[in-house]
Amino acid sequence: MAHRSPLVTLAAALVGLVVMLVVDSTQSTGSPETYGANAPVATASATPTPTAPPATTPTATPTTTPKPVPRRASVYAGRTAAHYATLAIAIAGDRAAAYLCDGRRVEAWLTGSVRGIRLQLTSPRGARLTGTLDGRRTSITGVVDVPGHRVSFRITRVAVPAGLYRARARVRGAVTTIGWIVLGNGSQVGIADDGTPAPAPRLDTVRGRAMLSGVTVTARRVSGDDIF
Amino acid sequence: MTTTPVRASTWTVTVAVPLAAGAAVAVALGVYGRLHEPTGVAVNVAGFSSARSVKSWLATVALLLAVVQLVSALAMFGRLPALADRAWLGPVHRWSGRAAVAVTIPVVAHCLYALGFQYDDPRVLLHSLLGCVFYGAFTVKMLGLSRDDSPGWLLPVIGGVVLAAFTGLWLTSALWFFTTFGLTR
Repeated sequence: MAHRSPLVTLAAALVGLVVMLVVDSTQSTGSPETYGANAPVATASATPTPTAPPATTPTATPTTTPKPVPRRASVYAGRTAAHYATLAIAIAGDRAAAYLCDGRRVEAWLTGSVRGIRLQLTSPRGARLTGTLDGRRTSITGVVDVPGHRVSFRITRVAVPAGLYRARARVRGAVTTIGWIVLGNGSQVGIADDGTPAPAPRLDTVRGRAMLSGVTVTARRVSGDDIF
Repeated sequence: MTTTPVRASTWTVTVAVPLAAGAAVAVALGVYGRLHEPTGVAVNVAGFSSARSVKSWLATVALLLAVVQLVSALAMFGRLPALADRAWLGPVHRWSGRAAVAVTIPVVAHCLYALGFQYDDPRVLLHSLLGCVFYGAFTVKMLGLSRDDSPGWLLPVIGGVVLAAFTGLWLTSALWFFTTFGLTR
Protein backbone atom coordinates (compact mmCIF):
# COMPACT_ATOMS: atom_id res chain seq x y z
CA MET A 1 0.00 0.00 0.00
CA ALA A 2 2.79 2.36 0.78
CA HIS A 3 5.38 3.13 -1.86
CA ARG A 4 8.84 3.98 -0.73
CA SER A 5 10.24 5.82 -3.73
CA PRO A 6 8.38 9.15 -3.27
CA LEU A 7 9.46 9.12 0.37
CA VAL A 8 13.03 8.45 -0.72
CA THR A 9 12.75 11.37 -3.16
CA LEU A 10 11.45 13.59 -0.39
CA ALA A 11 14.20 12.51 1.99
CA ALA A 12 16.82 13.01 -0.73
CA ALA A 13 15.55 16.54 -1.34
CA LEU A 14 15.75 17.28 2.37
CA VAL A 15 19.26 15.85 2.64
CA GLY A 16 20.29 17.81 -0.43
CA LEU A 17 18.96 21.01 1.08
CA VAL A 18 20.77 20.42 4.34
CA VAL A 19 24.00 19.63 2.49
CA MET A 20 23.69 22.80 0.41
CA LEU A 21 23.01 24.89 3.51
CA VAL A 22 26.11 23.41 5.13
CA VAL A 23 28.13 24.13 1.98
CA ASP A 24 26.84 27.69 1.99
CA SER A 25 27.69 28.06 5.66
CA THR A 26 31.33 27.26 4.86
CA GLN A 27 31.50 30.19 2.44
CA SER A 28 32.70 32.77 4.90
CA THR A 29 34.60 34.71 2.26
CA GLY A 30 33.61 35.96 -1.12
CA SER A 31 31.74 38.93 -2.33
CA PRO A 32 28.61 39.59 -0.34
CA GLU A 33 25.72 39.64 -2.65
CA THR A 34 22.38 40.98 -1.68
CA TYR A 35 19.41 41.32 -3.83
CA GLY A 36 15.71 41.31 -3.62
CA ALA A 37 14.30 44.71 -2.99
CA ASN A 38 17.66 46.23 -3.67
CA ALA A 39 18.11 44.40 -6.90
CA PRO A 40 16.29 46.69 -9.33
CA VAL A 41 18.97 49.21 -8.58
CA ALA A 42 20.98 49.82 -11.65
CA THR A 43 24.67 50.28 -11.12
CA ALA A 44 25.74 53.84 -10.83
CA SER A 45 27.90 53.75 -13.93
CA ALA A 46 25.17 52.14 -15.98
CA THR A 47 22.47 54.73 -15.55
CA PRO A 48 23.69 58.28 -15.53
CA THR A 49 20.85 60.74 -15.20
CA PRO A 50 20.05 62.29 -18.53
CA THR A 51 20.17 65.78 -17.06
CA ALA A 52 23.59 65.36 -15.54
CA PRO A 53 26.92 65.05 -17.34
CA PRO A 54 27.29 61.28 -17.46
CA ALA A 55 30.93 61.00 -16.63
CA THR A 56 31.07 63.33 -13.68
CA THR A 57 27.93 62.78 -11.66
CA PRO A 58 26.50 59.33 -12.05
CA THR A 59 23.30 58.86 -10.12
CA ALA A 60 22.25 55.77 -8.30
CA THR A 61 18.63 54.95 -8.78
CA PRO A 62 16.79 54.76 -5.49
CA THR A 63 15.41 51.32 -4.90
CA THR A 64 12.29 52.42 -3.18
CA THR A 65 10.05 54.62 -5.19
CA PRO A 66 9.48 57.85 -3.33
CA LYS A 67 5.93 58.01 -2.09
CA PRO A 68 4.06 60.35 -4.39
CA VAL A 69 1.72 61.87 -1.84
CA PRO A 70 3.02 62.97 1.52
CA ARG A 71 0.93 61.30 4.17
CA ARG A 72 -0.01 62.56 7.55
CA ALA A 73 2.85 61.13 9.51
CA SER A 74 4.18 62.22 12.85
CA VAL A 75 7.88 61.99 13.45
CA TYR A 76 9.55 62.08 16.85
CA ALA A 77 13.27 62.46 17.23
CA GLY A 78 15.85 63.03 19.91
CA ARG A 79 18.74 61.60 21.84
CA THR A 80 18.41 58.64 24.13
CA ALA A 81 19.48 58.67 27.76
CA ALA A 82 23.21 58.82 28.47
CA HIS A 83 23.79 60.14 24.92
CA TYR A 84 24.06 56.57 23.77
CA ALA A 85 22.44 57.18 20.41
CA THR A 86 19.86 59.17 18.50
CA LEU A 87 16.40 57.81 17.90
CA ALA A 88 13.62 58.72 15.51
CA ILE A 89 10.15 57.20 15.39
CA ALA A 90 7.66 57.83 12.58
CA ILE A 91 4.00 57.04 13.12
CA ALA A 92 1.38 56.67 10.41
CA GLY A 93 -1.96 55.52 11.73
CA ASP A 94 -1.41 52.31 13.62
CA ARG A 95 2.00 51.61 12.10
CA ALA A 96 5.34 52.88 13.32
CA ALA A 97 8.89 52.75 12.07
CA ALA A 98 11.98 53.71 14.00
CA TYR A 99 15.69 54.14 13.51
CA LEU A 100 18.25 54.05 16.27
CA CYS A 101 21.69 55.24 15.31
CA ASP A 102 24.86 56.38 17.04
CA GLY A 103 26.39 57.85 13.89
CA ARG A 104 29.33 55.48 13.95
CA ARG A 105 28.44 51.82 13.94
CA VAL A 106 25.36 51.02 16.06
CA GLU A 107 22.12 51.17 14.15
CA ALA A 108 18.77 49.43 14.09
CA TRP A 109 15.74 49.75 11.81
CA LEU A 110 12.56 48.78 13.60
CA THR A 111 8.93 48.45 12.57
CA GLY A 112 5.84 47.79 14.59
CA SER A 113 2.43 48.87 15.68
CA VAL A 114 0.72 51.61 17.61
CA ARG A 115 -2.21 50.58 19.80
CA GLY A 116 -3.74 53.65 21.39
CA ILE A 117 -0.73 55.27 23.00
CA ARG A 118 1.43 52.13 23.15
CA LEU A 119 4.18 51.43 20.64
CA GLN A 120 5.76 48.04 20.07
CA LEU A 121 8.52 47.78 17.48
CA THR A 122 11.05 45.13 16.60
CA SER A 123 13.82 44.65 14.07
CA PRO A 124 14.76 41.46 12.22
CA ARG A 125 18.11 41.58 14.01
CA GLY A 126 16.59 41.43 17.48
CA ALA A 127 16.23 45.06 18.54
CA ARG A 128 13.06 45.90 20.47
CA LEU A 129 11.41 49.16 21.33
CA THR A 130 8.49 49.85 23.60
CA GLY A 131 7.16 53.34 24.02
CA THR A 132 4.23 55.38 25.22
CA LEU A 133 2.82 58.50 23.62
CA ASP A 134 1.87 61.29 25.95
CA GLY A 135 -1.72 62.49 26.03
CA ARG A 136 -1.24 65.24 23.48
CA ARG A 137 0.96 63.02 21.33
CA THR A 138 3.84 65.47 21.47
CA SER A 139 6.42 63.09 22.91
CA ILE A 140 7.22 59.41 23.32
CA THR A 141 8.93 57.88 26.30
CA GLY A 142 10.17 54.35 26.36
CA VAL A 143 12.97 51.85 26.27
CA VAL A 144 14.89 50.41 23.36
CA ASP A 145 16.88 47.19 23.55
CA VAL A 146 19.60 46.42 21.09
CA PRO A 147 21.71 43.31 21.55
CA GLY A 148 23.95 44.10 24.52
CA HIS A 149 22.35 47.41 25.40
CA ARG A 150 19.20 48.74 27.01
CA VAL A 151 18.59 52.45 26.92
CA SER A 152 15.64 54.66 27.82
CA PHE A 153 14.49 57.70 25.87
CA ARG A 154 12.13 60.59 25.75
CA ILE A 155 11.87 62.15 22.32
CA THR A 156 9.61 64.92 21.08
CA ARG A 157 7.69 65.58 17.92
CA VAL A 158 9.66 67.36 15.21
CA ALA A 159 8.61 69.24 12.09
CA VAL A 160 9.95 69.10 8.54
CA PRO A 161 12.78 69.17 7.58
CA ALA A 162 13.60 67.40 10.82
CA GLY A 163 12.69 63.75 10.74
CA LEU A 164 13.77 60.33 9.58
CA TYR A 165 15.22 59.68 6.12
CA ARG A 166 16.35 56.56 4.38
CA ALA A 167 18.10 55.75 1.15
CA ARG A 168 18.93 52.43 -0.43
CA ALA A 169 21.04 52.31 -3.52
CA ARG A 170 23.80 50.41 -5.22
CA VAL A 171 26.95 52.44 -4.86
CA ARG A 172 30.08 51.17 -6.56
CA GLY A 173 28.68 47.66 -6.67
CA ALA A 174 27.62 47.48 -3.03
CA VAL A 175 24.02 47.79 -1.96
CA THR A 176 24.06 50.48 0.66
CA THR A 177 21.38 51.47 3.12
CA ILE A 178 21.69 54.92 4.62
CA GLY A 179 19.65 56.23 7.50
CA TRP A 180 19.57 59.80 8.73
CA ILE A 181 17.93 61.37 11.72
CA VAL A 182 17.60 65.12 11.36
CA LEU A 183 16.91 66.79 14.69
CA GLY A 184 14.89 69.91 15.33
CA ASN A 185 18.04 72.03 15.52
CA GLY A 186 19.12 70.83 12.08
CA SER A 187 21.87 68.52 13.25
CA GLN A 188 22.12 65.15 11.56
CA VAL A 189 23.11 61.69 12.66
CA GLY A 190 23.35 58.84 10.19
CA ILE A 191 24.99 55.65 9.14
CA ALA A 192 25.72 54.31 5.68
CA ASP A 193 25.84 50.53 5.72
CA ASP A 194 27.16 48.58 2.75
CA GLY A 195 28.02 45.65 4.97
CA THR A 196 30.29 47.78 7.11
CA PRO A 197 28.58 50.62 9.00
CA ALA A 198 30.18 54.02 8.56
CA PRO A 199 29.10 57.61 9.24
CA ALA A 200 26.60 58.80 6.65
CA PRO A 201 27.35 61.67 4.28
CA ARG A 202 25.49 64.89 4.87
CA LEU A 203 21.92 64.85 3.64
CA ASP A 204 20.56 67.78 1.68
CA THR A 205 17.10 67.81 3.27
CA VAL A 206 15.73 70.25 0.71
CA ARG A 207 16.51 68.09 -2.30
CA GLY A 208 16.50 64.80 -0.43
CA ARG A 209 19.89 63.90 -1.75
CA ALA A 210 23.33 63.00 -0.52
CA MET A 211 26.65 62.24 -2.15
CA LEU A 212 28.20 58.90 -1.25
CA SER A 213 31.56 58.02 -2.80
CA GLY A 214 30.86 60.46 -5.63
CA VAL A 215 27.44 59.01 -6.33
CA THR A 216 24.21 60.89 -5.75
CA VAL A 217 21.73 58.90 -3.71
CA THR A 218 18.12 59.87 -3.24
CA ALA A 219 16.60 59.69 0.21
CA ARG A 220 12.97 59.56 1.16
CA ARG A 221 11.22 60.44 4.35
CA VAL A 222 10.24 57.47 6.44
CA SER A 223 6.55 57.89 7.16
CA GLY A 224 5.83 55.09 9.60
CA ASP A 225 4.09 52.42 7.55
CA ASP A 226 7.30 51.45 5.83
CA ILE A 227 8.70 47.96 5.68
CA PHE A 228 12.45 47.65 5.89
CA MET B 1 -22.93 3.80 9.74
CA THR B 2 -19.91 1.82 10.66
CA THR B 3 -18.05 3.06 7.61
CA THR B 4 -17.96 6.66 8.72
CA PRO B 5 -15.13 6.37 11.23
CA VAL B 6 -13.16 4.23 8.78
CA ARG B 7 -13.63 6.82 6.06
CA ALA B 8 -12.74 9.58 8.42
CA SER B 9 -9.54 7.90 9.48
CA THR B 10 -8.64 7.10 5.87
CA TRP B 11 -9.21 10.70 4.96
CA THR B 12 -7.06 11.73 7.89
CA VAL B 13 -4.20 9.54 6.79
CA THR B 14 -4.40 10.20 3.06
CA VAL B 15 -5.23 13.91 3.00
CA ALA B 16 -4.89 15.62 6.36
CA VAL B 17 -1.49 14.20 7.26
CA PRO B 18 0.20 15.09 3.94
CA LEU B 19 -1.39 18.53 3.96
CA ALA B 20 -0.32 19.14 7.54
CA ALA B 21 3.20 17.97 6.76
CA GLY B 22 3.34 20.21 3.71
CA ALA B 23 2.08 23.18 5.69
CA ALA B 24 4.69 22.48 8.35
CA VAL B 25 7.44 22.43 5.70
CA ALA B 26 6.20 25.71 4.20
CA VAL B 27 6.04 27.40 7.59
CA ALA B 28 9.41 26.00 8.66
CA LEU B 29 11.07 27.34 5.52
CA GLY B 30 9.51 30.76 6.01
CA VAL B 31 10.46 30.91 9.67
CA TYR B 32 14.02 29.79 8.92
CA GLY B 33 14.24 32.36 6.13
CA ARG B 34 13.09 35.07 8.48
CA LEU B 35 15.07 34.12 11.58
CA HIS B 36 18.35 33.18 9.98
CA GLU B 37 20.42 36.31 9.56
CA PRO B 38 21.01 36.57 5.79
CA THR B 39 24.70 36.27 5.08
CA GLY B 40 24.62 37.65 1.56
CA VAL B 41 27.45 35.26 0.74
CA ALA B 42 27.10 32.80 -2.07
CA VAL B 43 28.94 29.85 -3.47
CA ASN B 44 30.59 31.04 -6.63
CA VAL B 45 30.23 28.75 -9.59
CA ALA B 46 32.92 28.82 -12.25
CA GLY B 47 31.78 30.19 -15.58
CA PHE B 48 29.03 32.36 -14.20
CA SER B 49 29.21 36.00 -13.33
CA SER B 50 27.21 35.77 -10.12
CA ALA B 51 25.13 33.51 -7.96
CA ARG B 52 22.07 35.25 -9.32
CA SER B 53 22.79 34.18 -12.86
CA VAL B 54 23.57 30.63 -11.72
CA LYS B 55 20.25 30.55 -9.91
CA SER B 56 18.38 32.01 -12.86
CA TRP B 57 19.78 29.41 -15.23
CA LEU B 58 19.16 26.55 -12.82
CA ALA B 59 15.61 27.78 -12.35
CA THR B 60 15.18 27.92 -16.12
CA VAL B 61 16.37 24.31 -16.42
CA ALA B 62 13.84 23.41 -13.74
CA LEU B 63 11.14 25.26 -15.66
CA LEU B 64 11.86 23.24 -18.79
CA LEU B 65 11.67 20.07 -16.71
CA ALA B 66 8.41 21.38 -15.26
CA VAL B 67 7.02 21.56 -18.80
CA VAL B 68 8.01 17.91 -19.22
CA GLN B 69 6.20 17.28 -15.93
CA LEU B 70 3.03 18.94 -17.18
CA VAL B 71 3.00 17.12 -20.51
CA SER B 72 3.77 13.71 -19.02
CA ALA B 73 1.18 14.23 -16.27
CA LEU B 74 -1.48 15.18 -18.82
CA ALA B 75 -0.59 12.08 -20.82
CA MET B 76 -0.72 9.82 -17.77
CA PHE B 77 -4.18 11.11 -16.96
CA GLY B 78 -5.30 10.41 -20.52
CA ARG B 79 -5.59 14.01 -21.63
CA LEU B 80 -3.19 13.58 -24.54
CA PRO B 81 -4.53 10.72 -26.67
CA ALA B 82 -1.43 10.73 -28.82
CA LEU B 83 0.69 9.76 -25.83
CA ALA B 84 -1.79 7.55 -24.04
CA ASP B 85 -0.53 4.44 -22.27
CA ARG B 86 3.10 4.79 -23.21
CA ALA B 87 5.20 2.72 -20.85
CA TRP B 88 7.88 5.40 -20.53
CA LEU B 89 5.50 8.08 -19.26
CA GLY B 90 5.80 7.09 -15.61
CA PRO B 91 9.60 6.92 -15.52
CA VAL B 92 9.90 10.14 -17.51
CA HIS B 93 7.52 11.91 -15.14
CA ARG B 94 9.29 10.60 -12.05
CA TRP B 95 12.81 11.32 -13.17
CA SER B 96 12.13 14.70 -14.73
CA GLY B 97 10.43 15.64 -11.47
CA ARG B 98 13.36 14.47 -9.39
CA ALA B 99 15.76 16.31 -11.65
CA ALA B 100 13.65 19.47 -11.45
CA VAL B 101 13.62 19.41 -7.66
CA ALA B 102 17.31 18.54 -7.58
CA VAL B 103 18.32 21.60 -9.58
CA THR B 104 16.20 23.83 -7.36
CA ILE B 105 17.96 22.65 -4.19
CA PRO B 106 21.11 24.80 -4.59
CA VAL B 107 18.86 27.70 -5.53
CA VAL B 108 16.64 27.48 -2.47
CA ALA B 109 19.65 26.90 -0.24
CA HIS B 110 21.13 30.17 -1.48
CA CYS B 111 17.80 31.95 -1.15
CA LEU B 112 17.39 30.77 2.43
CA TYR B 113 20.96 31.11 3.59
CA ALA B 114 22.16 34.23 1.84
CA LEU B 115 18.95 36.21 1.42
CA GLY B 116 16.20 34.95 3.69
CA PHE B 117 12.49 35.64 3.58
CA GLN B 118 12.06 39.25 2.52
CA TYR B 119 9.11 41.48 1.91
CA ASP B 120 10.71 44.73 0.83
CA ASP B 121 8.79 44.82 -2.41
CA PRO B 122 5.86 42.86 -3.86
CA ARG B 123 7.99 40.78 -6.22
CA VAL B 124 10.23 39.65 -3.39
CA LEU B 125 7.34 39.03 -1.03
CA LEU B 126 5.54 36.96 -3.65
CA HIS B 127 8.72 35.05 -4.41
CA SER B 128 9.35 34.32 -0.74
CA LEU B 129 5.79 33.10 -0.22
CA LEU B 130 5.79 30.98 -3.38
CA GLY B 131 9.09 29.41 -2.36
CA CYS B 132 7.53 28.20 0.88
CA VAL B 133 4.38 27.05 -0.93
CA PHE B 134 6.37 25.17 -3.56
CA TYR B 135 8.30 22.97 -1.14
CA GLY B 136 5.24 22.51 1.05
CA ALA B 137 3.22 21.34 -1.94
CA PHE B 138 6.09 19.16 -3.10
CA THR B 139 6.07 17.50 0.32
CA VAL B 140 2.31 16.92 0.09
CA LYS B 141 2.74 15.40 -3.36
CA MET B 142 5.50 13.00 -2.31
CA LEU B 143 3.49 11.90 0.73
CA GLY B 144 0.35 11.57 -1.36
CA LEU B 145 2.20 9.49 -3.96
CA SER B 146 3.41 7.10 -1.31
CA ARG B 147 -0.12 5.74 -0.79
CA ASP B 148 -2.43 3.94 -3.19
CA ASP B 149 -5.53 5.00 -1.30
CA SER B 150 -5.08 8.73 -1.75
CA PRO B 151 -8.21 10.35 -3.19
CA GLY B 152 -8.02 10.73 -6.96
CA TRP B 153 -8.12 14.52 -6.90
CA LEU B 154 -5.16 14.92 -4.58
CA LEU B 155 -2.32 14.38 -7.06
CA PRO B 156 -3.70 16.54 -9.90
CA VAL B 157 -4.56 19.35 -7.50
CA ILE B 158 -1.27 19.30 -5.63
CA GLY B 159 0.67 18.76 -8.84
CA GLY B 160 -1.07 21.82 -10.22
CA VAL B 161 -0.14 23.79 -7.10
CA VAL B 162 3.49 22.69 -7.42
CA LEU B 163 3.59 23.69 -11.09
CA ALA B 164 1.81 27.01 -10.53
CA ALA B 165 4.05 27.86 -7.58
CA PHE B 166 7.17 27.03 -9.54
CA THR B 167 6.05 29.06 -12.54
CA GLY B 168 5.42 31.99 -10.20
CA LEU B 169 8.85 31.51 -8.64
CA TRP B 170 10.51 31.57 -12.03
CA LEU B 171 8.56 34.64 -13.17
CA THR B 172 9.44 36.56 -10.00
CA SER B 173 13.13 35.66 -10.10
CA ALA B 174 14.72 34.35 -13.27
CA LEU B 175 12.47 36.22 -15.71
CA TRP B 176 12.94 39.36 -13.65
CA PHE B 177 16.70 38.79 -13.63
CA PHE B 178 16.94 38.18 -17.38
CA THR B 179 14.75 41.15 -18.25
CA THR B 180 16.64 43.41 -15.84
CA PHE B 181 20.19 42.34 -16.52
CA GLY B 182 19.92 40.58 -19.87
CA LEU B 183 20.61 36.97 -20.73
CA THR B 184 23.94 36.92 -18.96
CA ARG B 185 25.82 33.97 -17.66
